[in-house]
Amino acid sequence: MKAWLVVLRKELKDLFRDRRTMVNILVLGALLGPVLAMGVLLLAVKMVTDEAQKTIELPVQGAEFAPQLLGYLRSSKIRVVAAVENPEAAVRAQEVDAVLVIDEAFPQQLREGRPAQLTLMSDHSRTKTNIVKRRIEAAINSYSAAVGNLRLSLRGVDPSITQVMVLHDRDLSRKGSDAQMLAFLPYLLIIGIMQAAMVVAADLTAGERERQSLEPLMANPVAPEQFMTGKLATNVLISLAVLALSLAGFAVGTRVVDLGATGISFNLASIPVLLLFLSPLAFLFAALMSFVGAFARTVKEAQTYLGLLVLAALTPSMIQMVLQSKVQGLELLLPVWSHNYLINEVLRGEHLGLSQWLLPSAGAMLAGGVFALLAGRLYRKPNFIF
Amino acid sequence: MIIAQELKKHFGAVKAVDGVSFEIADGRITGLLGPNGSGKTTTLRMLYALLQPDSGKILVDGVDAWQRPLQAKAAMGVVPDARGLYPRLTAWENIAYFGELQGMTGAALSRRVDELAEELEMQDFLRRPCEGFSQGQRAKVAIARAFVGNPQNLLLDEPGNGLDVMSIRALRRYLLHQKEQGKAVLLSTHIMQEVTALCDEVVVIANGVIKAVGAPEALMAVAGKDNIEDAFVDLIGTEEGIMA
Repeated sequence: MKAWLVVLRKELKDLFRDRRTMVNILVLGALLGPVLAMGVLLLAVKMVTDEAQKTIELPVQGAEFAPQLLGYLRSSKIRVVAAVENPEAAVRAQEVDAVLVIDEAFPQQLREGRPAQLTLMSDHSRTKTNIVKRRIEAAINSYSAAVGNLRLSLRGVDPSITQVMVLHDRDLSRKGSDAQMLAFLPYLLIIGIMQAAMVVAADLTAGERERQSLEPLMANPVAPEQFMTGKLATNVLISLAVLALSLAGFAVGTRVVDLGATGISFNLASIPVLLLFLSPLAFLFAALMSFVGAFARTVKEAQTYLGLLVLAALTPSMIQMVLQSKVQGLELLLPVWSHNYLINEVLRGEHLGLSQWLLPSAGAMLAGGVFALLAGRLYRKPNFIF
Repeated sequence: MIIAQELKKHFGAVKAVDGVSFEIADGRITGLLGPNGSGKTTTLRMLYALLQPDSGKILVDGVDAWQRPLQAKAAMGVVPDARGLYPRLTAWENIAYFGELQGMTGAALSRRVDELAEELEMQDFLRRPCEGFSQGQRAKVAIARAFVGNPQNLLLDEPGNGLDVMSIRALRRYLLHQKEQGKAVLLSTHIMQEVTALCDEVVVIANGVIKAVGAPEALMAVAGKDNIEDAFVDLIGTEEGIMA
């Protein structure tokens, strides 16, 4: 058996017996992602459906000026309640979602056929109020249109004359592409792999130094690169196992949790695709972590360095989460950046093209190869061994 | 047999080893005796090919240790000062891991581990994880795994450190048995009893240079003292570092 395989087998056995490390890897790496994602999704879905269905309580200032309008609102599940004393303060303090103010001149404007003035106060920065606001707007607009149409009909004009164009909305997204809400999923997957790579790298290099077992190990008639390769392979395997677990977690999660009408689905077929697609990235992380971890003398020290590294490497993901911009051309060579974008594409049900498979993989393998080489050279340095 | 010729290793301005030559003959136990910081450990690290000498040459059974490190390492069993074991692996697994790294497998490896366990009297804890082992148990595992490949040359850096009397006696019996089998044994130490009890030849080293070479009795005669400790102090010219 090749020496690196002996190292791989021993490291796997050793890691699996370390309950603390395994819990660290499995709980933080594999489970936290799906649980967190499902929790956030469930909350978002619940909020959207709740706000869309519940009866809105709307305080109205000057209710006496527009009894017909308010009667119409009631039929759209908007209940008019008593006016509040200081509407602006009440909205700011979130005591009410919105306040409708009907101008004193409203009845007269209406009678004379001039645009009648109404004001809706709400806090636009709150997602929840926005849903309420949209429903009230829609109700008022539809009442306004109905009255307008009546006016035209009375004057013998076909109301459809005001409808110059009709814009039809056709959604071309594939099934499952409401996964827009899953924009943070790539981020969670990548953080899962990195978390695993970090814990394993800290134990495998710095742990060996901390336990003072490196010097006797290196006295064996085995090329130092073989040790590095064995440890790297251990790290890649564990990272991929964590990735598989966390993908399975998402798959189970999206089936168990009722995501309502959002249409979010997680296709089982995307699991093997993502596993294969993210393997080079796991290699890159493992190599990077092995290299940086080799500078630390203790596991704690390594975890400090590597924790910072995780944050730095996640920056592209965070930017992508906000921008959601298309990654193409040579940009595809950038690891993490391109992976983040393409994970989303896979989740949306798109097929990856040849260049989308090759370029990100080449970028990750190349960068990983450089770090693996550097790590291998470190294993020959006396400063590293002693 | 290991031959060291004119070894030099400087760390910046510190001349850790400054022109050291000696021979570790087959069928003998050679002691490398020196105070703390005298260059013993640096010399050993060069011998087992983990540290490149600035100049000089090391021949392990005729093989240049720095030119062909894998072949040289295969002919040596090393117990360094750092004796870290893998705490989650059992003693047996720790020893077998090194055996597998040296290309041993299957029944031959099992036989060899059991043989070492018997020789070093470690059957009681052989199947237990190393977490929480006593110093003596740890030392035995470190020695067993170093010699699992049955190498011709055995190098031990301060093996008696922290061991109780029983463990030291087991270690001595083991090393004497190895010597009878024609092995070349190098023992780096600062413990005088170990030298008189075991060594056929002593290399006295201080400040990176060799102060004297010879059998313990010969060294005492040269220094004109009737015990090895006085002879040692006289040979290195200071009392520094012996109080260990």
